[in-house]
Amino acid sequence: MKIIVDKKGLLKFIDSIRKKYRLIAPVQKDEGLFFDAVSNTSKIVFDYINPKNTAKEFFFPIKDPILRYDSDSIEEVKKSKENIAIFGIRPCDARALSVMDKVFNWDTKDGLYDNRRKNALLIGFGCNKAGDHCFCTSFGYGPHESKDVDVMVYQLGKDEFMVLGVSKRGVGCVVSGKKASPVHESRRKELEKGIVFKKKMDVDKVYKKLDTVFDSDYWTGASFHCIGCGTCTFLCPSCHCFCMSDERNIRYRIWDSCQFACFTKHTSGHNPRPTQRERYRQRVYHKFSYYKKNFGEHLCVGCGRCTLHCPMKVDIFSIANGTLDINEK
Amino acid sequence: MKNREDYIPIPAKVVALRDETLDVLTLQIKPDEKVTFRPGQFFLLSVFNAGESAFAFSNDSGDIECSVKCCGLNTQAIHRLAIGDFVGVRGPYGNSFLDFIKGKKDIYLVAGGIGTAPIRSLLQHILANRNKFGKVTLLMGARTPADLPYMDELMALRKNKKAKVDVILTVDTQPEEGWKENVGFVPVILDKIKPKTKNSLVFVCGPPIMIKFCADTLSKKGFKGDQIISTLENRMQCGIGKCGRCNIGPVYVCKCGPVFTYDDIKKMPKDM
Ligand SMILES: Cc1cc2nc3c(=O)[nH]c(=O)nc-3n(C[C@H](O)[C@H](O)[C@H](O)COP(=O)(O)OP(=O)(O)OC[C@H]3O[C@@H](n4cnc5c(N)ncnc54)[C@H](O)[C@@H]3O)c2cc1C
Ligand code: SF4
Ligand code: SF4
Ligand code: FES
Repeated sequence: MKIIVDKKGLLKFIDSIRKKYRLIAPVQKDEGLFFDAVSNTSKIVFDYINPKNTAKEFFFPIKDPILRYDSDSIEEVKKSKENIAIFGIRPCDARALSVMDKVFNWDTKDGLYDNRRKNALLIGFGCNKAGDHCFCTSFGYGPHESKDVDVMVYQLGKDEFMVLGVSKRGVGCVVSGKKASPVHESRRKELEKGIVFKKKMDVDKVYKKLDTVFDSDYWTGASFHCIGCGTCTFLCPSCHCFCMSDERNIRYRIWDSCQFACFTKHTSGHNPRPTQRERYRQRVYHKFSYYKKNFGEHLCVGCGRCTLHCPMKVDIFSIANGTLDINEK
Repeated sequence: MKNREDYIPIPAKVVALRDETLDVLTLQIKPDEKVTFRPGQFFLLSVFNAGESAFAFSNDSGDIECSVKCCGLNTQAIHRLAIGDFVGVRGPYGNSFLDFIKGKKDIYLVAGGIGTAPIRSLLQHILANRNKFGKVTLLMGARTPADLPYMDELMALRKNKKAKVDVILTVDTQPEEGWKENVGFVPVILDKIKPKTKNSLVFVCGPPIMIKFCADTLSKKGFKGDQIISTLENRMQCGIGKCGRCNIGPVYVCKCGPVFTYDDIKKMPKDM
């Protein structure tokens, strides 16, 4: 069911969600726009491309306690009973979660992640414009995609929003309102069509090409400016690498990055990926080749954050797309 | 094995310790729940407050045994353990050498340094099922005689006529005195013992450089890539394909390995 509400009505709907969920939404902070817990819905920002952080940290936190130990026992950390709802998640970030579900359930289930995932409510917010670095449409979905969320919201006019329940849980929580008409739906389609993307890549071609250019010198130049800071991986909605660390009787799982020099270093001192060339190449292959080989989908969703926030302006789009121009045997 | 989620180890106690060499310690560990495993598989050993590290099972059944070379933070903590100390184990993970043995085969076991640990597990399995295997030859090497692990066991094995295992030992350079075994790198001695290709399998575990030269030697002798079986020991954290650390191309060593044929290894991208 699709309903039409004004902004007041939308905020009322979002507020009603708070009864059952801890609400996360885009809010302005000193350092920029972030997804964060919201207690006052008037603080929610509606005009943005994407928050700096991604939705993944609410399912796969930066530092997540796994277990407590002492000198003779191990105790599982109790799973949080609190369910979260994220308002304002873009189709790219929502897709990233669906994509990550696959690795976190690869034969063995990851309870820490799954538990939060299965109880959450995602309220997507369609985009009406694309950022300079967005390339979601390259992956066969787009800025109005609703299949990865529970409820989808589109902004049709300054004070007009269309709300639609997608999943069973989503349908269940959409309050009644004015029913949307075909006019509204065609208005939405128009808006979607009007979005201009500066970037589009043939990811299938790139995927095939990557099978042949692993040893190319291309990677030396492509990674030349990368300083291995890991920003790209931490701001990526689908990067899932982690390490573990014992600190004062708690074992944590902590985000790690394939861009760090010691990530793969063997204890013997040997490092399979000794320079940024191999490390950046790994990131590109993981996103555009390996993940698809293992799980049938690309691990990049084209949100553009890694390029936007890289201190060295390393652009994964141009680098992946640029492989198509490599002419060596 | 109970399907353990969330990376929670099974509580366990150290029940025996034995120094193999100056820097290799063998531990016997008793978990609170029974863990059954097969040769070639690995597990994660937790020393709390230090961390978790991957080790090959170095025995075939019963309590867990592993042999640990002291080289970093966790392995130092492991070397400081005493009998009765509390640890955690997670596993077994990975595939087994046994997945690669079809029918009655002649077996060559080739081990260098700490790579002997998983080979010992396979050797114990063979001894427990001796009639299912043909000729068995063990070639083990290390830098010096003092670096050879499991010496008492191997000497006993040599004397045990019923075991019918040919035990060949070598060290890299001629020791000062008292050494009556071979001198020379493992691949050189492997060449000398003239392994027969027919109906045989070679299991090679050790430093990557040793594996490479052994595989070259064997290939020259006509061994096919699927007759040479080895393990890869990439740095690991989760052991279950999630932390993204151990891959070589699309292959996650923790999930698809750690045991691979040389054919598999040759096909992998040069990211090792
Ligand atoms: C499947 C598999 C099976 C394995 N089986 C065995 C086995 O049977 N036996 C075995 O011994 N090992 C085995 N290993 C290797 C073992 O997992 C590593 O040796 C162990 O994880 C090292 O952990 P650590 O904390 O001691 O090293 P870390 O501290 O994690 O070392 C990390 C890095 O820091 C450096 N470093 C840390 N501390 C020091 C230091 N004091 N001095 C110099 N450099 C340092 C090291 O160079 C290394 O690069 C296996 C590995 C795998 C993946
Ligand atoms: S690509 Fe950019 S953000 Fe990523 S590690 Fe390199 S310098 Fe940092
Ligand atoms: S790799 Fe970059 S563009 Fe792709 S999903 Fe991650 S942050 Fe977004
Ligand atoms: S050890 Fe974590 S993915 Fe293999």
